[in-house]
Amino acid sequence: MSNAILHATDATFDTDVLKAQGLVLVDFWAEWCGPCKALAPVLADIAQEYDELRIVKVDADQNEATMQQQSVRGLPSLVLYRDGVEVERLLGVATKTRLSAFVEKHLEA
Amino acid sequence: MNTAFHNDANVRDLALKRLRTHIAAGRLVPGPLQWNGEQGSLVGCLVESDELIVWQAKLGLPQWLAVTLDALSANLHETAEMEQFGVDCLQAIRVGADVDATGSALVVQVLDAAAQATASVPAGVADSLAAVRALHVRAAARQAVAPAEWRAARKAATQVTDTLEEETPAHDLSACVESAAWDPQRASSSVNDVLRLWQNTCRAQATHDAGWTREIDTRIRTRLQEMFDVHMGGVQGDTITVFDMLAKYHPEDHDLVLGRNKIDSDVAVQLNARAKALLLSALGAA
Repeated sequence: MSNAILHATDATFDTDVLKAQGLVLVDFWAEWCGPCKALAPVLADIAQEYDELRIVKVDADQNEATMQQQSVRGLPSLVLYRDGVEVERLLGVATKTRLSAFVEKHLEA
Repeated sequence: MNTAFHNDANVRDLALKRLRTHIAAGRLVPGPLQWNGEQGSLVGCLVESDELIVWQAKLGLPQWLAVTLDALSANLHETAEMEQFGVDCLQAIRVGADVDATGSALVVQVLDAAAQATASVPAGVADSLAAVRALHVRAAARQAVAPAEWRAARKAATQVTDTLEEETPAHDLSACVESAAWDPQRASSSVNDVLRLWQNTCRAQATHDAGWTREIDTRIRTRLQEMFDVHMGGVQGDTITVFDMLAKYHPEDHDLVLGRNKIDSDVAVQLNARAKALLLSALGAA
């Protein structure tokens, strides 16, 4: 939806997330997942708001190796990485209010 | 400021023609904004783009409306209903109207409805609701509201939510209020968040009224885990689910789950219909 949102795969996750500098928020989602769809416009909004945050989406069904490597067991899962290291994760749909607070806490850390 | 359809009815009619053409060709994919050149969401089919900025530029309508239309249409079951909803919304808007501030007018109505649906509103929630509502009343009247005012209201409302027990009507109402503490013209997903959490509030109140308690919830979750671990050997079956196992070993709890599911479903149907009606009314009033 936004140019700021990347779509990573098993082949690119290492480069797009684990070797990326700064904060990267990864949305693990699936086409069949209703809550994932509810989260999509919130993420697009967040992408517009925080230039210093990279947002990456990973299709869980198409990238099982990454799902296993990152121990993602529920959808949607939002995992925040700083310089390639996981710092916190959220499970389920978040409002813009809560997701902004989540992001700002780590931007200010 | 946006001017609906750039003051040209042909702009609206052309968008509706695109929508009807794509729907007739089976190209409508319900869900959040998408358009891949062949298929798309309701909004994607209207403007043949997955960019909110294109929606705004092509139709002269605010971005919050696009997000809300896609979300509400995705809750409809029939393609014909989705098409009619898209047609009704665009036709409800007067050509040349400015519906930018209509998001705030809608939020005021939804906050009022959420508060009315909640049997007991704690004083802290009532205060934060009044504060956020007052900002939207000003915004709906096209009065300036500073970003710092939205931030302060959001912070105060969030602090109130954090003091409340989760999955209670008061908590979910407070979550609805905090989600509303944004200017819809700058936060395109916020109106949809408010509508979604209004539904959570009503669902929490309805399940509470039906006698569903935290103890019941905890017991059933524990039993579902037990069904999975003991009776399914920790392996997800292809045809048999933990709910089938619950029906076999704890039929009284299975009945409670069915009752709760019906409440959730009934609330969703009722609230989706009310949300559509409120949106159409607000758009028509602009």
